[in-house]
Amino acid sequence: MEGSILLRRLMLLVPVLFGMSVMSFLLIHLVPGDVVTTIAGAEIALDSPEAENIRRSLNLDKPLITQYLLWILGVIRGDLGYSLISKVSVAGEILSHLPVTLVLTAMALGISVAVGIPAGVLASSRRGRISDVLLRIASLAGMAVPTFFASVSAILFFSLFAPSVRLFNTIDFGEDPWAGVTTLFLPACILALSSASTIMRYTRGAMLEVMREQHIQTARAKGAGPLRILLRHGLRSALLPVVTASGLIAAHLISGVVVVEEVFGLPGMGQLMLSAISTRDYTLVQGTVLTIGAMVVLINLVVDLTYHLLDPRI
Amino acid sequence: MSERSKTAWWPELFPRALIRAFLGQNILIRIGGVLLVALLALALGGPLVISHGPTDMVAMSLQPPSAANLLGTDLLGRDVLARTLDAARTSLIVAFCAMALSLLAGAAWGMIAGYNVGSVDLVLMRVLDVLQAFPPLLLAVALVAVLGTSTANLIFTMSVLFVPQFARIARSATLLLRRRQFVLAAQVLGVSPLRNLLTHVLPNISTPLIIESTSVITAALLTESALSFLGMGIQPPTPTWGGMIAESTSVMTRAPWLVLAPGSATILVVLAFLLLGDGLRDKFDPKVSG
Repeated sequence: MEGSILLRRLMLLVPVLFGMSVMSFLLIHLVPGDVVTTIAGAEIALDSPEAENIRRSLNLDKPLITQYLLWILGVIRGDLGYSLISKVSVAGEILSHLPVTLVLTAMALGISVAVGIPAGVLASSRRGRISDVLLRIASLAGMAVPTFFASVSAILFFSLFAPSVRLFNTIDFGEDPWAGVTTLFLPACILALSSASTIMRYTRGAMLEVMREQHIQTARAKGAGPLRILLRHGLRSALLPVVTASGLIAAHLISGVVVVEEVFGLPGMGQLMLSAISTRDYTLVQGTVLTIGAMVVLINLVVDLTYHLLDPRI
Repeated sequence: MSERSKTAWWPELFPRALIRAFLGQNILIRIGGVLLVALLALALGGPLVISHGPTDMVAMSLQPPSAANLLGTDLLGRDVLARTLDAARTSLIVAFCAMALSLLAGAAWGMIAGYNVGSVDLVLMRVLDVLQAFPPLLLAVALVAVLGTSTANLIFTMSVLFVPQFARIARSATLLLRRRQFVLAAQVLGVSPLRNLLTHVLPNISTPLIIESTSVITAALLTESALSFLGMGIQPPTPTWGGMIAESTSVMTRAPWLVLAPGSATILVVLAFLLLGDGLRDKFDPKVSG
């Protein structure tokens, strides 16, 4: 049973992953003009041997389909090509930057769920009262604050009022994992601001709807306690729309990761991609875009499967 | 005949109920609307009151807020208030253009998908799945990086990002409508699909699309400011909120107003649209309402 669900979910991912790979692949072909001049500078003659070399190294001399197939076969083998600037392997660069992003995203997701779902349940159960209104205002505020402004403000606040707190530490999970996690705590909280708010709003909406349904009446008539009704009977069915929305939430969360890593100087995927973009290192850009996209897809898969474990009905 | 149908469906694109809601009783709409009108008035009327332009160097560098410069001056001695208001205009125009473009494309995309159930629908929706699986900012950064940084590219990129949101709504609404008698009747009478979509489907799906456009505008505002913060949005010397914050982080402990003014402006504008959207949703979509 579990196996078949896993298989079905994995099958659904295939078209999305394929589309993603095509889009990442085509990125390099969207560069206006000839990529060669972007890489080697405007003074290079487009028919010179150097230009030919660059084209050959990127497989640009072959038909588009062949290029894609060569590229995707490499990707499947774990070979994302070589950086145009530093000539190191793109896959190696990505692997060294992945841990920070993974830990940061996991922490932010954890915080958003831990804050968003209880807040949503609370707001729905206190509907129309002052705590509901306050929570709704807080969630709107959480969604209105741009991630980069929250990050900059946090740094400003700490440097003005608590200069002794060290915000910028080197992160080495191999050496001192705990120090890494504590350094990532503030960035993770900032990232969680808008996703926690979104989760709260979805939870509140879904709870309000579920609590009107008949099985809640039945549970009440049965004499179940209010907390049990709220959590066992209400929240369990209300979680489905929240999980459905988790795809978009995860995608937005990772958008924030790019910004937060840049502001806090965290050596993660977002920073890697931005620096690749500023140096016009297109193979590296391609690799990071594909990896981050795949990350979002995998997060969705994990959330989805967790939900199936929680609720065997679906 | 053509005369009549023109007058028949244009006014209904902005359904009367929606207009009444803007003027009416809903508290969220009222707060959001008032906030928005006030901010628009500031953004548009500001330059009439403030004598210096956003790029004029009017005073010493890093002056704290004073009577002459209400929000102080930045590193180059430019008036922060004038810059913040000018940025408001730019941001709103860019966000609005992006929203309008993706509304057009998304509505068409969704209506075509919803009207042609089957393989067309399947292909169109899978493309959206892929678009939505990418983190929006990531896609924007990558697209701007390859296309080059310009305001036109920025608008184009953002309009691509938000097509899925509109298209999904247009599709699900169209799916319901195409089984309705008046749409089927028109079909039987030989009305062309295009005309049928424009005269019978579009007016009936415009309310959810207009409501969605408030949330797309907030997303566009936030994306634009993040891109400008990363240096990939609107380029200097045109002031933007994101750009103003990015260029002041090195001196912000000495001059916090450089960061707080544009930041608060962003929050207020986004909040106004969020409130408006929430109010409209409360009113027209009882399913999610509070």
